[in-house]
Amino acid sequence: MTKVDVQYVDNYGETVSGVPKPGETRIAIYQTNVSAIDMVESQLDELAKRVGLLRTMSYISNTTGGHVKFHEEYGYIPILIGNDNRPVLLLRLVEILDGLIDYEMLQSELPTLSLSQIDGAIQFIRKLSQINSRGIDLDDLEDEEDMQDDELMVALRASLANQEIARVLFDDNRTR
Amino acid sequence: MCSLTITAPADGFLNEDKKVKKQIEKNMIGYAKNSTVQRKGALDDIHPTARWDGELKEVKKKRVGRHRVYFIGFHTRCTYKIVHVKVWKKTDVDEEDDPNFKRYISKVMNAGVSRTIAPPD
Repeated sequence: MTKVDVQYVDNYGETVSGVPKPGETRIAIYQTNVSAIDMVESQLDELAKRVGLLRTMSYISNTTGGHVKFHEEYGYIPILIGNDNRPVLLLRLVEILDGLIDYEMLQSELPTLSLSQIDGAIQFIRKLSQINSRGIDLDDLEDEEDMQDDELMVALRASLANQEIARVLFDDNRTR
Repeated sequence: MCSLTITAPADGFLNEDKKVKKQIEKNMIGYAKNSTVQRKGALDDIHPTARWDGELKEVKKKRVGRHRVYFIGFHTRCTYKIVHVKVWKKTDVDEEDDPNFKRYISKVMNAGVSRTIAPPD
């Protein structure tokens, strides 16, 4: 909702705001669009949440040997420092772990959870591993990169146009 | 249980690396097997990218480790089709030279000071 806060100069030349008293003459000096303030407040809230989360993650890192670092020059995104003193994103480590997971085995260990839930939890950890002070989502950046990848676009279009199915990887009614 | 197929061009990419092929197939089959016409699965939690249109508007991307699998399909049709695979290959490129990381750093740096309200005396 857009609210308008009006400020006035009263009879004594003082700047005041709010509802004028009966018989009081005021000259409006400027209007502030409160929705703009709301927007800034919401951005500050978002920043405060991120800073809070980063503080928690930094605390957790300190209690686990301090191997995960948060450097200002990298926007505090979680990193590890290699023996060549260069950064390795924690996200990369999570991605590799994801690739090594045997989801069926994991599900047999946690039979009350669905594969969707397990996958969702891994995606949650993935997002946590890329939290940074600027709120930049590396997955979004990758998707943007896809958009600029002409080779990918051509390959996708060709594959969609080609109705030939090379293999049926799984079908309940057929064996592979 | 929903079916999973793969197009010939996508299969070509998978066949380049047997280990990756096994990993991607196992994951994708697991996801497809857990969906039915009535019940959505992990492949249905992914939405097609809003930036793509035309024939690509139904294409979704599943991240399997460092590899990317592009597919179409939905549990209500009970069939999924892999249309492309981007197999990540290990190179000697350092993390800092990764284009995605470079772009991230560039965004972080550019998001520094947007406006100087009062210059120093």
